Amino acid sequence: MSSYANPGVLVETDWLANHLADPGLCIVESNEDYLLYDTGHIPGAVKIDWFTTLQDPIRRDFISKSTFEQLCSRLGIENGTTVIFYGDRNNWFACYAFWLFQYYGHERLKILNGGRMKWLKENRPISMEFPSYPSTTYLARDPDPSIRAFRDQVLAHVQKGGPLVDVRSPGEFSGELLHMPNYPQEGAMRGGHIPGARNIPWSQAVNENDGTFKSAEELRQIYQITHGFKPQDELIAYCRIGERSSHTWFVLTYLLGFSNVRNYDGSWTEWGNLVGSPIEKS
Amino acid sequence: MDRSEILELVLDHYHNPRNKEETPEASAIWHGGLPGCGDLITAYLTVADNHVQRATFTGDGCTISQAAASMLTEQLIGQSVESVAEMNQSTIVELLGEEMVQTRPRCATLGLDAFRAAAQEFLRQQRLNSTSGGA
Repeated sequence: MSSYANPGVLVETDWLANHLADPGLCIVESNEDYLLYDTGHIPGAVKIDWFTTLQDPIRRDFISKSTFEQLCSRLGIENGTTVIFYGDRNNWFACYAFWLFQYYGHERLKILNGGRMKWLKENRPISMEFPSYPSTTYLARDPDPSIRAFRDQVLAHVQKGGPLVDVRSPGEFSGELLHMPNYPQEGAMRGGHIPGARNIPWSQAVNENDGTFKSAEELRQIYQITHGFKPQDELIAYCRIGERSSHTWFVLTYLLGFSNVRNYDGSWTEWGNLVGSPIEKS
Repeated sequence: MDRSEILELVLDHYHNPRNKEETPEASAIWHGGLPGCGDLITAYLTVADNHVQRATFTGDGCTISQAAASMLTEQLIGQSVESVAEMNQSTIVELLGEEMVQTRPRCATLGLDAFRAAAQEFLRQQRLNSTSGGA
Protein backbone atom coordinates (compact mmCIF):
# COMPACT_ATOMS: atom_id res chain seq x y z
CA MET A 1 0.00 0.00 0.00
CA SER A 2 1.36 3.44 -0.90
CA SER A 3 1.79 5.92 1.90
CA TYR A 4 0.75 9.49 2.44
CA ALA A 5 2.79 12.19 0.73
CA ASN A 6 3.84 13.57 4.15
CA PRO A 7 3.26 10.78 6.68
CA GLY A 8 5.15 12.68 9.37
CA VAL A 9 2.38 15.22 9.62
CA LEU A 10 0.20 12.72 11.46
CA VAL A 11 0.79 11.28 14.89
CA GLU A 12 -1.07 8.26 16.16
CA THR A 13 -2.66 8.05 19.59
CA ASP A 14 -0.26 5.26 20.60
CA TRP A 15 2.73 7.43 19.81
CA LEU A 16 1.36 10.47 21.60
CA ALA A 17 0.50 8.46 24.70
CA ASN A 18 4.17 7.57 24.98
CA HIS A 19 5.49 11.07 24.31
CA LEU A 20 3.22 13.29 26.40
CA ALA A 21 6.09 14.74 28.40
CA ASP A 22 8.54 15.15 25.54
CA PRO A 23 10.30 18.50 25.56
CA GLY A 24 9.74 20.52 22.44
CA LEU A 25 6.15 19.35 22.05
CA CYS A 26 3.02 21.40 22.57
CA ILE A 27 -0.32 19.59 22.44
CA VAL A 28 -3.21 21.84 21.49
CA GLU A 29 -6.90 20.98 21.75
CA SER A 30 -9.12 22.95 19.40
CA ASN A 31 -12.83 22.19 19.43
CA GLU A 32 -16.09 23.47 18.16
CA ASP A 33 -17.50 23.02 21.69
CA TYR A 34 -16.02 25.81 23.79
CA LEU A 35 -16.07 23.95 27.12
CA LEU A 36 -15.18 20.46 25.95
CA TYR A 37 -11.53 20.96 26.91
CA ASP A 38 -12.72 21.92 30.40
CA THR A 39 -14.47 18.56 30.77
CA GLY A 40 -11.10 16.82 30.45
CA HIS A 41 -8.27 16.81 27.91
CA ILE A 42 -5.09 15.02 26.97
CA PRO A 43 -2.62 15.54 29.84
CA GLY A 44 -0.50 18.59 29.24
CA ALA A 45 -2.66 19.93 26.41
CA VAL A 46 -3.51 23.60 26.14
CA LYS A 47 -6.63 25.02 24.56
CA ILE A 48 -6.98 27.20 21.48
CA ASP A 49 -10.53 28.23 20.73
CA TRP A 50 -11.25 28.84 17.06
CA PHE A 51 -13.52 31.76 17.80
CA THR A 52 -12.35 33.55 20.93
CA THR A 53 -8.65 32.86 20.37
CA LEU A 54 -8.14 32.86 16.63
CA GLN A 55 -10.63 35.45 15.40
CA ASP A 56 -10.22 39.18 15.52
CA PRO A 57 -12.87 40.40 17.96
CA ILE A 58 -14.06 43.25 15.74
CA ARG A 59 -13.73 42.56 12.03
CA ARG A 60 -14.23 39.25 10.26
CA ASP A 61 -10.65 38.07 10.00
CA PHE A 62 -8.08 36.12 11.90
CA ILE A 63 -5.93 37.58 14.64
CA SER A 64 -3.06 39.72 13.44
CA LYS A 65 0.53 38.57 13.24
CA SER A 66 1.39 40.37 16.47
CA THR A 67 -1.59 38.85 18.32
CA PHE A 68 -0.59 35.45 16.99
CA GLU A 69 2.91 36.01 18.34
CA GLN A 70 1.46 36.94 21.73
CA LEU A 71 -0.72 33.83 21.69
CA CYS A 72 2.17 31.49 20.96
CA SER A 73 4.41 33.23 23.48
CA ARG A 74 1.71 32.94 26.17
CA LEU A 75 1.26 29.21 25.47
CA GLY A 76 4.98 28.58 25.72
CA ILE A 77 5.38 27.79 22.03
CA GLU A 78 8.77 28.52 20.53
CA ASN A 79 9.51 28.78 16.84
CA GLY A 80 11.01 25.29 16.92
CA THR A 81 8.24 23.67 18.96
CA THR A 82 6.35 20.78 17.41
CA VAL A 83 2.67 21.62 17.80
CA ILE A 84 0.24 18.71 17.76
CA PHE A 85 -3.39 19.61 17.21
CA TYR A 86 -6.44 17.52 18.04
CA GLY A 87 -10.09 18.20 18.65
CA ASP A 88 -13.73 17.24 18.36
CA ARG A 89 -15.73 16.71 15.18
CA ASN A 90 -13.08 14.69 13.37
CA ASN A 91 -10.44 17.38 13.88
CA TRP A 92 -12.29 20.11 11.94
CA PHE A 93 -11.01 22.89 14.14
CA ALA A 94 -7.71 21.15 14.76
CA CYS A 95 -7.11 21.39 11.02
CA TYR A 96 -8.39 24.96 11.06
CA ALA A 97 -5.86 25.91 13.76
CA PHE A 98 -3.15 23.94 11.94
CA TRP A 99 -3.94 25.92 8.79
CA LEU A 100 -3.69 29.25 10.63
CA PHE A 101 -0.38 28.25 12.22
CA GLN A 102 0.83 27.38 8.74
CA TYR A 103 -0.48 30.73 7.51
CA TYR A 104 1.80 32.46 10.03
CA GLY A 105 4.73 30.29 9.10
CA HIS A 106 5.06 27.79 11.94
CA GLU A 107 6.99 24.83 10.56
CA ARG A 108 6.55 21.91 12.89
CA LEU A 109 2.86 21.06 12.87
CA LYS A 110 1.06 17.76 13.28
CA ILE A 111 -2.46 16.41 13.62
CA LEU A 112 -3.43 13.64 16.02
CA ASN A 113 -5.01 11.02 13.75
CA GLY A 114 -8.53 10.34 14.99
CA GLY A 115 -8.57 13.37 17.25
CA ARG A 116 -10.33 13.59 20.56
CA MET A 117 -12.84 10.88 19.71
CA LYS A 118 -10.22 8.19 19.14
CA TRP A 119 -8.27 9.17 22.25
CA LEU A 120 -11.41 8.81 24.38
CA LYS A 121 -12.57 5.63 22.66
CA GLU A 122 -9.28 4.04 23.56
CA ASN A 123 -9.76 5.03 27.19
CA ARG A 124 -6.53 6.93 27.28
CA PRO A 125 -5.74 9.28 30.16
CA ILE A 126 -7.70 12.49 30.53
CA SER A 127 -6.62 15.36 32.71
CA MET A 128 -8.50 18.07 34.54
CA GLU A 129 -5.34 20.03 35.20
CA PHE A 130 -4.93 23.20 33.23
CA PRO A 131 -1.24 23.52 32.49
CA SER A 132 0.71 26.66 31.92
CA TYR A 133 4.21 26.83 30.50
CA PRO A 134 6.95 29.42 30.69
CA SER A 135 6.25 32.14 28.19
CA THR A 136 8.44 32.57 25.15
CA THR A 137 9.25 35.25 22.62
CA TYR A 138 7.65 33.88 19.50
CA LEU A 139 8.27 35.47 16.12
CA ALA A 140 5.74 34.76 13.39
CA ARG A 141 6.30 35.13 9.69
CA ASP A 142 4.21 37.32 7.46
CA PRO A 143 0.98 35.59 6.40
CA ASP A 144 1.42 33.06 3.61
CA PRO A 145 -1.03 34.08 0.87
CA SER A 146 -0.46 30.84 -1.03
CA ILE A 147 -2.78 28.87 1.27
CA ARG A 148 -5.63 31.36 1.64
CA ALA A 149 -8.13 32.53 -0.97
CA PHE A 150 -10.13 35.74 -0.75
CA ARG A 151 -13.44 36.32 -2.53
CA ASP A 152 -12.06 38.40 -5.41
CA GLN A 153 -9.44 35.75 -6.04
CA VAL A 154 -12.16 33.11 -5.98
CA LEU A 155 -14.19 35.10 -8.50
CA ALA A 156 -11.16 35.42 -10.80
CA HIS A 157 -10.56 31.68 -10.35
CA VAL A 158 -14.16 30.94 -11.34
CA GLN A 159 -13.94 33.19 -14.38
CA LYS A 160 -10.91 31.34 -15.71
CA GLY A 161 -12.54 27.97 -15.05
CA GLY A 162 -10.25 26.96 -12.16
CA PRO A 163 -11.08 23.88 -10.11
CA LEU A 164 -12.89 24.23 -6.80
CA VAL A 165 -13.89 21.66 -4.24
CA ASP A 166 -17.02 22.25 -2.18
CA VAL A 167 -16.70 20.03 0.89
CA ARG A 168 -20.21 20.63 2.26
CA SER A 169 -22.98 18.08 2.24
CA PRO A 170 -24.77 17.32 -1.06
CA GLY A 171 -27.89 19.17 0.13
CA GLU A 172 -25.91 22.33 0.83
CA PHE A 173 -24.12 22.00 -2.49
CA SER A 174 -27.32 21.62 -4.47
CA GLY A 175 -28.90 24.62 -2.81
CA GLU A 176 -31.63 22.59 -1.19
CA LEU A 177 -30.10 23.36 2.23
CA LEU A 178 -28.29 26.40 3.55
CA HIS A 179 -26.56 24.42 6.26
CA MET A 180 -25.61 20.87 7.15
CA PRO A 181 -28.39 18.26 7.13
CA ASN A 182 -30.43 18.32 10.33
CA TYR A 183 -29.05 21.75 11.21
CA PRO A 184 -31.25 24.83 11.20
CA GLN A 185 -31.47 26.46 7.82
CA GLU A 186 -30.00 29.90 8.01
CA GLY A 187 -26.67 31.66 7.67
CA ALA A 188 -26.70 32.70 3.99
CA MET A 189 -29.18 34.55 1.83
CA ARG A 190 -28.78 32.14 -1.06
CA GLY A 191 -28.19 28.42 -1.41
CA GLY A 192 -26.17 26.58 -4.03
CA HIS A 193 -22.51 26.44 -4.87
CA ILE A 194 -19.75 28.39 -6.57
CA PRO A 195 -19.92 27.76 -10.33
CA GLY A 196 -17.72 24.92 -11.45
CA ALA A 197 -17.16 23.45 -7.98
CA ARG A 198 -17.08 19.67 -7.48
CA ASN A 199 -18.85 18.37 -4.40
CA ILE A 200 -16.65 16.11 -2.27
CA PRO A 201 -17.96 16.19 1.33
CA TRP A 202 -15.11 16.38 3.85
CA SER A 203 -16.43 13.24 5.55
CA GLN A 204 -15.37 11.11 2.59
CA ALA A 205 -11.78 11.51 3.81
CA VAL A 206 -12.29 9.89 7.21
CA ASN A 207 -13.07 6.46 8.57
CA GLU A 208 -16.41 6.66 10.32
CA ASN A 209 -15.57 4.23 13.11
CA ASP A 210 -12.60 6.06 14.63
CA GLY A 211 -12.29 9.38 12.80
CA THR A 212 -8.87 8.57 11.36
CA PHE A 213 -7.99 9.58 7.84
CA LYS A 214 -8.58 7.08 5.08
CA SER A 215 -5.58 5.43 3.48
CA ALA A 216 -3.61 7.18 0.75
CA GLU A 217 -5.02 4.80 -1.83
CA GLU A 218 -8.58 5.46 -0.76
CA LEU A 219 -7.98 9.21 -0.80
CA ARG A 220 -6.40 9.07 -4.23
CA GLN A 221 -9.37 7.10 -5.48
CA ILE A 222 -11.73 9.81 -4.27
CA TYR A 223 -9.93 13.00 -5.22
CA GLN A 224 -7.78 11.99 -8.16
CA ILE A 225 -9.53 9.10 -9.87
CA THR A 226 -13.21 9.72 -9.23
CA HIS A 227 -13.04 13.52 -9.39
CA GLY A 228 -10.00 13.92 -11.60
CA PHE A 229 -8.01 16.45 -9.58
CA LYS A 230 -4.29 16.48 -10.19
CA PRO A 231 -1.60 17.20 -7.56
CA GLN A 232 -0.43 20.29 -9.44
CA ASP A 233 -3.94 21.76 -9.85
CA GLU A 234 -4.53 25.25 -8.53
CA LEU A 235 -7.35 24.20 -6.25
CA ILE A 236 -9.60 26.17 -3.91
CA ALA A 237 -11.53 24.43 -1.13
CA TYR A 238 -14.49 25.94 0.68
CA CYS A 239 -17.38 25.04 2.97
CA ARG A 240 -19.57 27.30 5.12
CA ILE A 241 -17.09 29.07 7.40
CA GLY A 242 -13.79 27.47 6.43
CA GLU A 243 -13.35 24.79 9.07
CA ARG A 244 -14.48 21.75 7.09
CA SER A 245 -12.49 22.99 4.10
CA SER A 246 -9.40 23.27 6.33
CA HIS A 247 -9.83 19.55 6.86
CA THR A 248 -9.90 18.90 3.10
CA TRP A 249 -7.06 21.38 2.55
CA PHE A 250 -5.02 19.30 5.01
CA VAL A 251 -5.89 16.04 3.26
CA LEU A 252 -5.03 17.34 -0.20
CA THR A 253 -1.88 19.21 0.80
CA TYR A 254 -0.29 16.85 3.29
CA LEU A 255 -1.74 13.42 2.74
CA LEU A 256 -1.95 13.54 -1.05
CA GLY A 257 0.84 16.03 -1.72
CA PHE A 258 -1.11 18.59 -3.76
CA SER A 259 1.11 21.61 -4.15
CA ASN A 260 -1.29 24.47 -4.71
CA VAL A 261 -4.41 24.26 -2.55
CA ARG A 262 -5.96 27.31 -0.95
CA ASN A 263 -8.65 27.46 1.68
CA TYR A 264 -11.39 30.00 1.04
CA ASP A 265 -12.26 30.73 4.68
CA GLY A 266 -14.91 33.28 3.74
CA SER A 267 -16.69 30.28 2.25
CA TRP A 268 -20.44 30.09 1.78
CA THR A 269 -21.31 32.53 4.57
CA GLU A 270 -19.54 35.13 2.44
CA TRP A 271 -20.31 33.91 -1.09
CA GLY A 272 -23.96 33.15 -0.40
CA ASN A 273 -24.49 36.61 1.05
CA LEU A 274 -22.45 38.53 -1.51
CA VAL A 275 -24.54 40.74 -3.76
CA GLY A 276 -24.17 39.69 -7.37
CA SER A 277 -21.92 36.68 -6.82
CA PRO A 278 -22.47 33.94 -9.41
CA ILE A 279 -24.16 30.86 -8.02
CA GLU A 280 -25.08 27.49 -9.46
CA LYS A 281 -27.79 25.19 -8.18
CA SER A 282 -28.09 21.52 -9.08
CA MET B 1 -19.84 33.23 41.90
CA ASP B 2 -16.36 33.39 40.49
CA ARG B 3 -15.38 31.90 37.13
CA SER B 4 -14.38 28.50 38.47
CA GLU B 5 -17.63 28.14 40.42
CA ILE B 6 -19.66 29.06 37.36
CA LEU B 7 -17.64 26.63 35.27
CA GLU B 8 -18.22 23.86 37.81
CA LEU B 9 -21.96 24.58 37.83
CA VAL B 10 -22.16 24.66 34.03
CA LEU B 11 -20.30 21.38 33.70
CA ASP B 12 -22.53 19.80 36.34
CA HIS B 13 -25.63 20.81 34.39
CA TYR B 14 -24.04 19.49 31.21
CA HIS B 15 -23.20 16.13 32.74
CA ASN B 16 -26.40 15.89 34.82
CA PRO B 17 -29.02 17.88 32.94
CA ARG B 18 -32.14 18.80 34.89
CA ASN B 19 -35.59 18.49 33.36
CA LYS B 20 -34.25 17.03 30.14
CA GLU B 21 -37.23 15.15 28.78
CA GLU B 22 -40.01 15.48 26.27
CA THR B 23 -43.34 16.79 27.47
CA PRO B 24 -45.65 16.08 24.54
CA GLU B 25 -48.69 17.38 26.44
CA ALA B 26 -47.00 20.74 27.20
CA SER B 27 -48.95 23.95 26.71
CA ALA B 28 -46.35 25.23 24.26
CA ILE B 29 -43.45 23.61 22.43
CA TRP B 30 -40.76 25.42 20.48
CA HIS B 31 -37.89 24.07 18.41
CA GLY B 32 -34.74 26.17 18.32
CA GLY B 33 -31.37 25.69 16.72
CA LEU B 34 -28.13 27.31 15.63
CA PRO B 35 -26.48 26.98 12.27
CA GLY B 36 -23.01 27.90 13.49
CA CYS B 37 -22.51 24.90 15.70
CA GLY B 38 -25.50 22.63 15.21
CA ASP B 39 -26.98 23.06 18.67
CA LEU B 40 -30.59 22.06 18.96
CA ILE B 41 -33.06 22.75 21.76
CA THR B 42 -36.74 21.94 21.99
CA ALA B 43 -38.46 23.81 24.83
CA TYR B 44 -41.60 22.47 26.51
CA LEU B 45 -43.61 24.82 28.72
CA THR B 46 -46.50 23.59 30.79
CA VAL B 47 -48.66 26.46 31.99
CA ALA B 48 -51.34 26.59 34.71
CA ASP B 49 -53.07 29.79 35.82
CA ASN B 50 -50.79 31.72 33.53
CA HIS B 51 -47.69 30.56 35.39
CA VAL B 52 -45.06 28.05 34.40
CA GLN B 53 -45.79 24.78 36.13
CA ARG B 54 -43.16 22.74 34.34
CA ALA B 55 -40.31 23.49 31.97
CA THR B 56 -38.43 20.73 30.21
CA PHE B 57 -36.18 20.52 27.21
CA THR B 58 -34.60 18.09 24.81
CA GLY B 59 -31.67 18.77 22.58
CA ASP B 60 -28.21 18.10 21.46
CA GLY B 61 -25.16 20.25 21.09
CA CYS B 62 -22.31 21.93 22.83
CA THR B 63 -21.69 22.15 26.54
CA ILE B 64 -22.86 25.73 26.94
CA SER B 65 -26.12 25.42 25.00
CA GLN B 66 -27.22 22.28 26.81
CA ALA B 67 -26.13 23.40 30.27
CA ALA B 68 -27.75 26.81 29.88
CA ALA B 69 -31.06 25.24 28.87
CA SER B 70 -30.91 22.93 31.89
CA MET B 71 -30.15 25.82 34.24
CA LEU B 72 -32.95 27.86 32.78
CA THR B 73 -35.59 25.17 33.36
CA GLU B 74 -35.00 25.50 37.10
CA GLN B 75 -35.45 29.27 36.95
CA LEU B 76 -38.72 29.26 35.05
CA ILE B 77 -40.90 27.34 37.47
CA GLY B 78 -43.50 29.64 38.99
CA GLN B 79 -42.82 32.58 36.71
CA SER B 80 -45.67 34.21 34.84
CA VAL B 81 -45.84 33.41 31.15
CA GLU B 82 -45.63 37.12 30.40
CA SER B 83 -42.34 37.44 32.24
CA VAL B 84 -40.93 34.42 30.40
CA ALA B 85 -42.08 35.95 27.12
CA GLU B 86 -40.17 39.11 28.00
CA MET B 87 -36.91 37.51 29.15
CA ASN B 88 -33.77 39.05 27.73
CA GLN B 89 -30.08 38.26 27.72
CA SER B 90 -29.64 39.49 31.29
CA THR B 91 -31.48 36.36 32.49
CA ILE B 92 -28.81 34.13 31.04
CA VAL B 93 -25.97 36.44 32.08
CA GLU B 94 -27.16 36.06 35.68
CA LEU B 95 -26.93 32.28 35.33
CA LEU B 96 -23.74 31.89 33.31
CA GLY B 97 -21.84 35.08 33.99
CA GLU B 98 -20.92 37.69 31.44
CA GLU B 99 -17.71 36.07 30.24
CA MET B 100 -19.33 32.76 29.33
CA VAL B 101 -22.17 34.48 27.49
CA GLN B 102 -19.78 36.68 25.54
CA THR B 103 -17.73 33.65 24.57
CA ARG B 104 -20.58 31.89 22.77
CA PRO B 105 -23.54 34.28 22.91
CA ARG B 106 -25.76 32.34 20.55
CA CYS B 107 -25.10 28.99 22.24
CA ALA B 108 -25.71 30.55 25.66
CA THR B 109 -29.00 32.12 24.65
CA LEU B 110 -30.39 29.29 22.54
CA GLY B 111 -32.44 27.85 25.43
CA LEU B 112 -33.55 31.31 26.46
CA ASP B 113 -34.72 32.05 22.92
CA ALA B 114 -36.58 28.74 22.71
CA PHE B 115 -38.37 29.14 26.06
CA ARG B 116 -39.18 32.77 25.33
CA ALA B 117 -40.57 31.81 21.92
CA ALA B 118 -42.62 29.03 23.53
CA ALA B 119 -44.10 31.52 26.00
CA GLN B 120 -44.82 34.00 23.22
CA GLU B 121 -46.49 31.26 21.20
CA PHE B 122 -48.59 30.31 24.22
CA LEU B 123 -49.74 33.93 24.63
CA ARG B 124 -50.46 34.22 20.90
CA GLN B 125 -52.63 31.10 20.98
CA GLN B 126 -54.35 32.43 24.08
CA ARG B 127 -55.18 35.68 22.31
CA LEU B 128 -56.42 33.83 19.23
CA ASN B 129 -58.65 31.65 21.36
CA SER B 130 -60.05 34.61 23.24
CA THR B 131 -60.82 36.59 20.05
CA SER B 132 -62.39 33.53 18.42
CA GLY B 133 -64.43 32.84 21.54
CA GLY B 134 -62.61 29.61 22.28
CA ALA B 135 -61.54 28.36 25.66
